[in-house]
Amino acid sequence: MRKTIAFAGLGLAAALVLSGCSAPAEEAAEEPMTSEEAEAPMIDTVNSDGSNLRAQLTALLADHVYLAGAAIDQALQDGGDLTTEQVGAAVAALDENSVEVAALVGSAYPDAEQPFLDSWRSHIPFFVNYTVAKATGDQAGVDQAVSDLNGYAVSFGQLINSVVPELPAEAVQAELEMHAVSLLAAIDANIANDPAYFDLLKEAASHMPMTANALAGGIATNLELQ
Amino acid sequence: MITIGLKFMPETITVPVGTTVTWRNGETIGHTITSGAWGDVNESTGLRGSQTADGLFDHALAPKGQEGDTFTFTFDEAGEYPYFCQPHLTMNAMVIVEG
Repeated sequence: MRKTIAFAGLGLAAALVLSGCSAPAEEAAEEPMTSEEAEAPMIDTVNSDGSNLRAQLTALLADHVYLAGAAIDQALQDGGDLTTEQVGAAVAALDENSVEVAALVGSAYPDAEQPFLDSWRSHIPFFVNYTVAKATGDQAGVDQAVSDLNGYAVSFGQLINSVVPELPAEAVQAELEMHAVSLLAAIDANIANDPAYFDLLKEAASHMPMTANALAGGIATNLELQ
Repeated sequence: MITIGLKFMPETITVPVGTTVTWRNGETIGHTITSGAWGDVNESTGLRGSQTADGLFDHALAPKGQEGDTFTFTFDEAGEYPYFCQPHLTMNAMVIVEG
C-alpha cells in the first residue's frame, strides 16, 4: 500500500527557501498548508545565512594562524630539523586545517576545491623557508621567501577572483599580504626569543576575521546568500 | 561548509512505508540526492568526513527553476535511509521509514 502524508514542516521549509535562514522545524507546526502542499512530504535544499559561512571561515583561518605558529615554533625548538616526529605532527595538523578550509570553499564551489587546496598548501613552505633562513642568518633565503610569499599573494588573489568575480584580485592579495606580514613579525619575535611573540601571533590571528569577512562577503554575494 | 550552510531541510524526516518523498532544489546551484551512509562530521564546520553511496538512488538535481529541479522516491520498506549531496559536504540527511 502506498500513501502520502501531510508533513508539518513543509510550510517552514518553503519559507526557508525564500528567507535563506534556518530554524527548528517545530516552529512551523501551525503554518497553514494548501491541499497541494499536503499531498506528499517535501524536502528542500536551503542555504543558511551568510553569517554561517563567515563564522566557519573565521574559525578555520584563525586556527590556520595558530597551527602555523605552533608548527614553526616546533621546528625552531627542534633546531630547524623538519623531520622530527613533533614537527611532522604539527605540520600534519596544519595540513588538516588546510583541507578543511578547502572543503569549505569546495562545498560552495566544488570545482575549485582542489585548485584552492593546491594553492593554499603551496604558501605554507614559504613561511618555513623564511623561518629557517632567518634563524640561520641566511639573508638571501629570507629575501627569497618574502618574494615567494608576495608572488603567492598575487596568484591567490587571481585564483579567488576567477572563482568569485565579486572579489577583486587586488583585495584578496592585500589580505594575504597582511597575513604574511603579521605572521612574519611573530616569527621574527619567536626567533629572537622575544616575549612579544605571543601578542604578535595573536595579532596575526586577529586579522583573520577581516579576511574571512571579505571572502565570505564576496561568496555570499556571488551565491546570493542572505 | 561552506557551507557554506547548504542543507537539506528538514535534515531528518520520518514517514510510513509506501510514502513518496519529494526533494526540491531551492538553490540556483545543482545538488545530488545520493543514497548511502555518511559520517565523521566535523562539529565546527559541519563537513562530513566519509561517505559511501549504496546505489539505491542517485539523482542529479537541476538548479532551482530548471527542468529536473525536483526528485521523488517511494520508500517501500521500513528502515533508515541516509543520503547526501555528493559535492556539498554539509548536506547530509536521513529518511526514516516506519513499518
